[in-house]
Amino acid sequence: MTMKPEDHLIDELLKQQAEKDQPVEIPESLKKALAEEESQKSRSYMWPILLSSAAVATVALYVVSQPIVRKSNILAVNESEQMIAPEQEMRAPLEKLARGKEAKKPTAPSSRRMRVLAAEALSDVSAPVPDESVSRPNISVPTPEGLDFGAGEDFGNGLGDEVVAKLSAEQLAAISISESEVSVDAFVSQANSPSVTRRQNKLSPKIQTLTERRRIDIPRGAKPLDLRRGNQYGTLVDPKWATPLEAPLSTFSVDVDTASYTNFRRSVTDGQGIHPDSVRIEEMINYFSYDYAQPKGDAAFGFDTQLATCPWEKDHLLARVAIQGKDVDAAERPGSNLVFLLDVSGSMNDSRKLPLLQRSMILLLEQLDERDSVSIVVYAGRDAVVLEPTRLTAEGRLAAIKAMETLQSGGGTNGGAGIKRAYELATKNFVKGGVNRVLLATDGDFNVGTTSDQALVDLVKEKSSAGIYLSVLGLGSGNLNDRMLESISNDGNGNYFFIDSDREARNVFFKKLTGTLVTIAKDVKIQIEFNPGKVQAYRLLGYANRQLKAEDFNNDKVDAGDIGAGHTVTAFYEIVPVGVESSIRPKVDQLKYQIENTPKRKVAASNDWFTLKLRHKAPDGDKSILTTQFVVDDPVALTQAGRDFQFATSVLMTGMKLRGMDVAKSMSWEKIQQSAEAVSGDDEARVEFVELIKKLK
Amino acid sequence: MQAAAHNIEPVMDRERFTDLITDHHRGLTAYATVLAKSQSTANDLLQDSYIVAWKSVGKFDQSRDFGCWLRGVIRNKWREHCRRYKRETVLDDDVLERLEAVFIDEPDNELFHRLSDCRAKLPDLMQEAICCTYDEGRTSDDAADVLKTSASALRKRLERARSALRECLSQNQPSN
Repeated sequence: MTMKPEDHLIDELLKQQAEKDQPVEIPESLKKALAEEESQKSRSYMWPILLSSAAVATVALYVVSQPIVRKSNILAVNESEQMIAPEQEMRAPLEKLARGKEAKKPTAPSSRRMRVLAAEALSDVSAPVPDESVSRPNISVPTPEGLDFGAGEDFGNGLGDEVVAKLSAEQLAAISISESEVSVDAFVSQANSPSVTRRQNKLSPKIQTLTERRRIDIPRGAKPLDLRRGNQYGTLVDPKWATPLEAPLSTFSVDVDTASYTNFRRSVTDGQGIHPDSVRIEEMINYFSYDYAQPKGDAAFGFDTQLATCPWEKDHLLARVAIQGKDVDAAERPGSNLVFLLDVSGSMNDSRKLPLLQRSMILLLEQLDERDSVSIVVYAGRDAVVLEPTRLTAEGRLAAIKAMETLQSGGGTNGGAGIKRAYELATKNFVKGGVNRVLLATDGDFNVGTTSDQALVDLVKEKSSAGIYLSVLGLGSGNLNDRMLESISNDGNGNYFFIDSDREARNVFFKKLTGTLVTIAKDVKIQIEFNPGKVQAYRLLGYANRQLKAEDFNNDKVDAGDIGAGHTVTAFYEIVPVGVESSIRPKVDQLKYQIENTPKRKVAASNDWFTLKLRHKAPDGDKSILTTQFVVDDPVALTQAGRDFQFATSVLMTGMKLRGMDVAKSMSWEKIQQSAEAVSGDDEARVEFVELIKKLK
Repeated sequence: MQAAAHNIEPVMDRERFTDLITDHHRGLTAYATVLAKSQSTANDLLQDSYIVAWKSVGKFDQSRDFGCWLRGVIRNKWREHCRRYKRETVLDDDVLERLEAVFIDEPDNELFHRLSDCRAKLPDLMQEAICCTYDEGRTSDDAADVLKTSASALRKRLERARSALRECLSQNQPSN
């Protein structure tokens, strides 16, 4: 090939791009080689735990062994230059443990025994130690319960393998104890006591023969706790079937978030499994744009209701309840007071996290203007104001972009302190009648410091009633605390996005920016009253964690979701019409003390299927406004129900299938893909959805 | 900035390492193929480089870009290979620099996004030519038939397209 290397590179990149949808195959031989290396390396991950278990001992011995350390540092060069940065490696897992709320602390139970065979610095007076034990000292430590040191399922479990850690001489010196077998507790107390018997520590030239290799035997049977796969999702319980005679009202809070869909897309793209509780059906449906009837006149909402046949149960019907929020022209958008609260902790150090966040925020800053002011607070260990409230004049914007560009990750996470600071700034700089919003961006475990989850939720609630809303941006994966993020954004009159790519950032901060920033209605609740004359049974599909009690509908003190400018809300009900034989309610024996199974009530003669009631408050209002709509339309065949209805049904079925709901039996991925494909048109998001479904097949 | 006072990186365990490799594999494959000029040598080179990288992963400063670091490892490994097998040649530094300019700190999916953006800026004929050959996997002769042009004209068109893409990718650096 005579191509220039640079052009050859483009040639190769184009070839790779053509295959980009194929999963990347890491060759078996490489996996094996990595696994072999791992079996050496994971020992080094043992050390932090080992050392933390016996931290006091380590420190004490470290002090005692200072003379050795200083000298042996010079000797601590590994022949293959495979020196591991011990300090960094020691801190990182601990950091991770400390952050994971559910990770068990690596404190050593009293039964834990640490067997340390001499790796001691040889003294001139000590008896010669056999070479084997010098070069490969044995240290066996039961793993702290529940820890798995990175043995992925592809590689088999690394526990119980022979583990050889490479240590610097510093570490060696720090833990060297002469042929003793002690429990950790004893180890600690001995180390604390000045009477620890130690052999002479004087460094002998023989220490040079110590390689950095040590063996740690990890017992089998330790329960692995997956530290990496720490995504936490709240349990969702899907709404059950109900009958209008027993439960005529179905009440729920709206949800305009889309995070669940973006999270789903990332999981599919990355070839990861999808956690059923990460699937919020309504958020998947909401991700897409629909062409609903626009609000009439000054109304905040337009309504769009429709009945069609149900694709997975031929005698059932699907009812779609859709709401279209009023759009606000970007030029008429009120001024805003935004506080970015950014997680720059160590875990954000990933090309799909901090750099993506920086690009997203810069994109947002570029859309804002003099009407807006921005402050930046970072939290990493302690909170820090990186940018005091700054009006976005040309100059201000430059300053803000510069501040954003220079962010670096590092430190732990104390979101609790950060969020308080962010609210302080937002309060100080409050814009009356404008958008006052804290925008929290994090990759996950939102460590709340000493504050409990509830205290944090309370803070967010309190501030939202004072007019400061919260938006949450989720990034990356690994320890995403989806439940926490969703719950605090719900309570903060906020929205929750998951940013997985620059494209998604453009979607949220460019295309739908006014919707993201401007709330047109808050505490939006929907209540449906089904007519038992027409509906035998119904169930709400999705909104699993948004259900409200019937009485909450009229109670203005009960919080609900907000709707931004131009947002749409779509909900589906599955309905069993009257007169249809249904397997939904299994037959029971005739009751003995009640003559009839169904209570007799007078049912008003009506052609309505149901009545839709909506309550909302104006963004700055306290009293809710009621809007009512009756649904009398006759059901149509699904194929006649319009593209939006049909496409949303495909997304609905995908969500139900992923959640393991009964639709799974009758609807194959193939069928779902076909039905979505037929109505995708050239809508980019819909086409992408079809591609994702292909990957699920 | 206070936040940057000290860095604590996430654990670089095998899983994370494998994830990073997976995220960068295609870009690195392209890179290695250019150095080694053959697919199979490139595969060996990659594999060796990944293992060396894993062995010395402690030296990897996680505030740096993983892809950039690995390309460095690949270059070193290739130099080593060339010393051993004298017939192979190392590209000179200018060329290596130009190759490096194509990449920015990004995993493959972002690299391909950028590439797609650049492709979209090409004239239609060039876009068609690329789609017909690369995406649809045709030889230039077959593609020329489909596009109703001569094979040599198509090759020329592809050549110009690649060079435009390279320029676009190299310019298309983020503002920071």
